Amino acid sequence: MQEFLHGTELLFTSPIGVSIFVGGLLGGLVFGAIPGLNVLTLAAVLLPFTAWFPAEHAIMLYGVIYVSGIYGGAITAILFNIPGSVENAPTAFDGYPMTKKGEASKAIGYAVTCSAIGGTLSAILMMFATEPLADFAVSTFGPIEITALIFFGLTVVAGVGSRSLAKGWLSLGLGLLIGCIGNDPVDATPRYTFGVLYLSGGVGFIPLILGLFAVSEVFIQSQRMATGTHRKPKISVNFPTVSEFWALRWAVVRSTVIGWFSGILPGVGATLAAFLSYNEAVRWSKTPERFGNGEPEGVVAPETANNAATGAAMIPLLALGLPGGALTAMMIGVFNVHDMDVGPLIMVEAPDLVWILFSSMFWASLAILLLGMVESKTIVHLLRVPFTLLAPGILVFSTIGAYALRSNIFDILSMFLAGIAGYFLRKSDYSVAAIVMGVILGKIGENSLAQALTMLDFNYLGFFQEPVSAVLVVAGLLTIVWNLTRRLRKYFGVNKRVTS
Amino acid sequence: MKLISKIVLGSGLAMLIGISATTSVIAAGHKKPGDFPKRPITIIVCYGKGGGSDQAVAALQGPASKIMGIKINKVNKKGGGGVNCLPDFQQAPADGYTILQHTDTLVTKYVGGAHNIHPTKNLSPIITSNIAPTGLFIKPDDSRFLDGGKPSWEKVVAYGKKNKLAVSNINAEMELVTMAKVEEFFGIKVKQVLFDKPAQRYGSVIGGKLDVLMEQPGDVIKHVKAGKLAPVLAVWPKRFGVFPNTKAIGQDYNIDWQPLLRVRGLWVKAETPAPIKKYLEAVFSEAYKSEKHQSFLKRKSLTIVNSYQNAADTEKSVNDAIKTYAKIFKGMGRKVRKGL
Repeated sequence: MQEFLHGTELLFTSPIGVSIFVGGLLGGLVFGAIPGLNVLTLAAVLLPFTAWFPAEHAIMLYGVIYVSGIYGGAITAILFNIPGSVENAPTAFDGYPMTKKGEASKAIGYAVTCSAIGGTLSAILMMFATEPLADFAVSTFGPIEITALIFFGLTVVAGVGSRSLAKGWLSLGLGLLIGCIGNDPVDATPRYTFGVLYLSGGVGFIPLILGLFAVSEVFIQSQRMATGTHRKPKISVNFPTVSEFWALRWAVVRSTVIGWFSGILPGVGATLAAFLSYNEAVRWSKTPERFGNGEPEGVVAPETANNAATGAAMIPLLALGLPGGALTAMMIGVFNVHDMDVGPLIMVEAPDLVWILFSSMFWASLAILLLGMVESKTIVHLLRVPFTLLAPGILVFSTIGAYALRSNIFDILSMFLAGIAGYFLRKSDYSVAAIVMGVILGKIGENSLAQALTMLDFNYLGFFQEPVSAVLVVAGLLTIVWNLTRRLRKYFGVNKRVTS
Repeated sequence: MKLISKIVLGSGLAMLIGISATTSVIAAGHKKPGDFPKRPITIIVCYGKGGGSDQAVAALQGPASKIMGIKINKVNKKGGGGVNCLPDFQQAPADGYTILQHTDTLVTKYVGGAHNIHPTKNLSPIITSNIAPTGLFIKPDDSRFLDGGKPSWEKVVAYGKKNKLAVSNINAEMELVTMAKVEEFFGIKVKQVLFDKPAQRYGSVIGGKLDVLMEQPGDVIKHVKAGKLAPVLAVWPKRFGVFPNTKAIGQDYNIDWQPLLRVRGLWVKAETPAPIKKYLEAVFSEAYKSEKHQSFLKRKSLTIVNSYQNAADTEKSVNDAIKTYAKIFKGMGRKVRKGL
């Protein structure tokens, strides 16, 4: 506690420190909200300038932008179906339908509160249990366990956002297939590239989600305008009530734990946290069919988890020198700029630096709550802009986002193709959420699968020999069986009623 | 409210001052070819963030950016053992604004036929900035490999003769061939598990999921200093100065083999105008010699071998490496590109 207070004192007694804290907070929110310009872009832009700051301020700045950037992407995901970053993609699954139902303010309220809760709990965990948790993570989760974890996550995806289980599975399969396009991650064998250079690098994820979410939505709403069925979303500025939050307490607890776990696994981070947490929300829900149609828990789960992963991602970085995700890997560069190597010795050699980081992440999480409460009352008024003006704006915004990442014109083409495909898929009740989850989980899982199989001498039964992976694989298989029986029972129940 | 607006204004000003101060520092001494560079330069790194290649570029990024007076962006594109970054580079114009950072893997993957970019015909080297030998590391408290409480290569060999030794490695031929040679020299059985992300590669041994890590000493020295990894063999004629108690294949086991080296350098497309290539070579050579970069090399133990080569020497070394690897691959029965 004394160290935390000391870190807080270091942070708030220096005017430069306060300026950097506030600048990082606002910078993260803005960059997180703009597709294609996520928090990593800001971190990369700032890296050379960190040499001008004292080491503790430079490291603190990265902690703050990480926290605020992860939250920032939720706003555009909820209001316009444009996830600012990959970690916010699951937030759009239910956040945008809530906006369409006139509950944008509530959705933002859930997102901001849960981001703050996830981030704060994560910062507390980071302060108290950095070393033991880091050791636990690397000794418990290797490629075999991570593969099993991804399998466990995939088993529930098929049930998200589609009318029938078959269409859910087909959507997931399509996602996995899209994830396979390009050179394979191990031997660089070209797959489905048809000799096209652009495809050998794989389909860019940002253009894909912009196309499937934002562009297809513009097409659907435009069609409704043309046919006179378009309805302007209702605007309300109601923040969720305490009892509404209380009803979701277990979702918050579960998602925080998932966020912690994903964050402390080296090389995994907030993206997996958000997707797995959304999946678990569906798995544990008594009404899973509501997900994808504006279920508040669908916003609460990913936003709690992706922010819970931020502090947790610092744990392997500080305790072992192993970055939990892309931004924490970039922080190694910040340490190097100041002639330091991050790792266990940093806790002994530079405790001030570590504690200012811990306390800044804690206060940044709380500051988000304040900023977000203001945002939930103000930013929703953007929805008053007529659709005829909003639609071109969304398309321009998305085009810039798709192009900004690699300055590649084909990314724009990919985005529009994904938009057209998304339009037809959504019209036919396929699940774009399952497609997106198939792409992201498939990409992470493929690497782990290749490594796991080498370790197991290509014996698939080996997954049952390691206790953690065995539990996860069995739980995944049970989920498939449970999903199938539940749907079959429903199907036969309906048929029986129709016959009688 | 006034206080908040002052703080916000202050932070904005702090950023603006930082940006303008950096962009105004333009070192003299290098004649710019026309108006190049008038916008930021991008360096594509073919491996994950936080690894040796990423750190090598980060160490040059600041000094080179200062010299040119423009920003240098770093983009990591991992996967395919260093091949999946190439399509992005190929799609960029040959104007010097997109630079490729690559390793000896650029050569080995060409020799093995994994890509068709000739490293000196289709590309032009700018400089080589890292040359490093390789070593093997274990978890310091792994009782299977300790003798009298100290890491023992003999114990690792004894275990490897009875069981398959699980080695955490990068998907690069230099390491794969080196490990295959170690396997052959010591008569052990090995399975190599390949990782693109350095954190997972190191974590798998620190966490006890795999037995041995193959890596360049400088990339893991912080883990060694922190007691999370311990060196157990230097794949080098002599013991490394930084790990004097760790046995070396030449000095301690009389193995007469010229070890392969991890080489990292910068490249542009061959069609890039010659004055731009010359300018970039001069800039990055000066950045290499800067105090900041030299301190990085020292801290990372990248001084075991002279890490610098200019464009001409790099071109010669790369052409030699193509022949050497073709010979090694043929000797090992591995696939070799036609005509080599």
